[in-house]
Amino acid sequence: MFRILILSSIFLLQACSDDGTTRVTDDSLGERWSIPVEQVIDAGPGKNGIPALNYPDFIPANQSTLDPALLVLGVQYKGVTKAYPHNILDWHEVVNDRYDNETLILSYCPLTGSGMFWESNSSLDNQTWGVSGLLYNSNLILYDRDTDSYWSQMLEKSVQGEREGEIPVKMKVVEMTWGAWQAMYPDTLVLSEETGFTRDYDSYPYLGFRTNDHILFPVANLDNRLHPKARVVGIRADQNTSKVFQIDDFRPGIDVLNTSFNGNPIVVIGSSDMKTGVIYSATTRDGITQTFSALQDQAPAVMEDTEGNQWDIFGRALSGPRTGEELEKTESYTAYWFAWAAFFPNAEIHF
Amino acid sequence: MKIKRLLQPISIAGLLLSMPVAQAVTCSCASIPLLNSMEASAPDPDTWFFSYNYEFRDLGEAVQGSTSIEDGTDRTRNTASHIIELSRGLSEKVSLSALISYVRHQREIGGQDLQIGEGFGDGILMLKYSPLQIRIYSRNAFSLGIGARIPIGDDEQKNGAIVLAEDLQPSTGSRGQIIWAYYARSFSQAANLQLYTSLSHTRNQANDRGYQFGNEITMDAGVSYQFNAPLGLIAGLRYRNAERDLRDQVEVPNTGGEWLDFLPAVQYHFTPNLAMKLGATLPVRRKLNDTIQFTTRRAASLSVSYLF
Repeated sequence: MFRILILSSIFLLQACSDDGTTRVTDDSLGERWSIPVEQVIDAGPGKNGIPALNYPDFIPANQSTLDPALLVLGVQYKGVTKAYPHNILDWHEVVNDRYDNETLILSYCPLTGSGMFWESNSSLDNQTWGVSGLLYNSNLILYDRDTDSYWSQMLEKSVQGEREGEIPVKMKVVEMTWGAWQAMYPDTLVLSEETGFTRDYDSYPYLGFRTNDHILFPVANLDNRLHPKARVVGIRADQNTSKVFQIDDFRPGIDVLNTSFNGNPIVVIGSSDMKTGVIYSATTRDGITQTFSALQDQAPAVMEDTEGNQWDIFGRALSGPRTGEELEKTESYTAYWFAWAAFFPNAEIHF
Repeated sequence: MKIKRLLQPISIAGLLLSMPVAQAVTCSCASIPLLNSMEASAPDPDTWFFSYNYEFRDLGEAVQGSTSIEDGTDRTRNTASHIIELSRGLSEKVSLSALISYVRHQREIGGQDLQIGEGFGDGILMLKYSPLQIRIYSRNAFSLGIGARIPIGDDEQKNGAIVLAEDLQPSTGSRGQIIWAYYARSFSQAANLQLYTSLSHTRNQANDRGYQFGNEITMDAGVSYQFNAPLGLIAGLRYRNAERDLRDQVEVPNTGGEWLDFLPAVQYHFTPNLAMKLGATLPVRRKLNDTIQFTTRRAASLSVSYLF
């Protein structure tokens, strides 16, 4: 028995010693960041600990059992309409998706409520992106697997690595309820819950975070003018010049605001019941500033201009003399108020 | 002196057959086995007790509520700890125990991102009051303890310029308070067969970054048997209930819960004063908060103890 004990002990010590004590990590992060590095936080799960989805399956809308009140991120690209539900994005945050042969990156940060749709713009060898496990101002930092550069989602630029300073090619993405999206685009595809990962997509992984007044990670600037989790669509010119519109302040149905930001005419399309808000330039490519009015129950058209053109939620002219024309995307997206205020202090609030 | 010689073999048997004082302070995914090696009984007056404990803990199991799931991220996560305890009997009923730890946390995901946090961890200082101890003339042992967890190690280790997550830091960076009670009963004069139970409560404070590991309650119960040969066997159950961790007083999701573990151990006495113990921790049941937590799949420990 004594021998067995001794042998077991030696085996235990050896097994444990072999498990890493002689290994050297080559995964250390660089020291140089273009954002305040002391505000970059290791959130815990680790790099790839939140697994991105790579080229996942989609199903037709009529096969989906999603709750109509659930929020989705919707895109239209190369003739394909897709919806990415929050309940799946909460668990994966990054979807590497293919449109024709092009890889595009849809990201959603559940802690800041912000969604983006970017071109991969990486080498053909590895066009996918992943979740770094790091946060800046409580917001997702992605990394591209091509160069291992790190990207701040809400700053929409690379903040560390070979591609530091680079700005991604941004595509239009719309957030709204699944019910509204499905009514607007009945032929949409929706991300399948058969992702290959064992996750309970019916449960929300962050307790009451979506609605309570707490934040989980520290941010640089707290602004208490609105509830921290108020959903806003914001537009920015630079870090200190921005304006937000509260989603819940829009009228039910389709609400259209013709206004300006930083001296430029913009059109804001929103809906409090569809839980959506987007902002485009109101100036068409021939330099004419358009005035828009809301269209109700004529989906996918949501507004009309004085020339008789009808436009959809992506700012595309569906009918009229400008058919096929597209309103210019602005530096805008939807997020929780606390997150917008953390990145863009002193934001003007539209009342 | 004669009495002391008579009592000493029984005393070391009591010391080494006892189960640990309390479970470790926990992190968001599992326990750092800080206190596992601290023995329950108290040494006699003017006697020193020394132990070295090595534990290897596999923390890579993903659990959703009570169900183990395939996480799909190809994650390995383990902690190896070296813990040294030194205790001294101050009187017949009072003893003082001090414990220091050296910890190595390791995490790798997808075979690509190896993260290591390594260094001195926390220390424990505990004062024990033991009005009853198992002797030839007494079959009951009872102890009360009050202690403090002291952060003697590093809690700001970095990967590049980024501070590692709390569960990869060797030290919690925070103080804590521990209260503990222990009862054992022998069933013969030679004290070969003993039943034991213990209860402890740990209250944790926040570290400089505002992170606070969840307060916890631990209950142990088990049986030990010392053969007439130098061999002893121990089988115990440990129930642990941990509250959610807090960051800036806000509950951290996917932390805390309930664990029930089976702890078998075998020990060998080289001499009446020197013994070695080999133990394991095997999960029986978990009920973890929220959606997914990474927790203990298994653990193994080896300790060497010496009374002098």
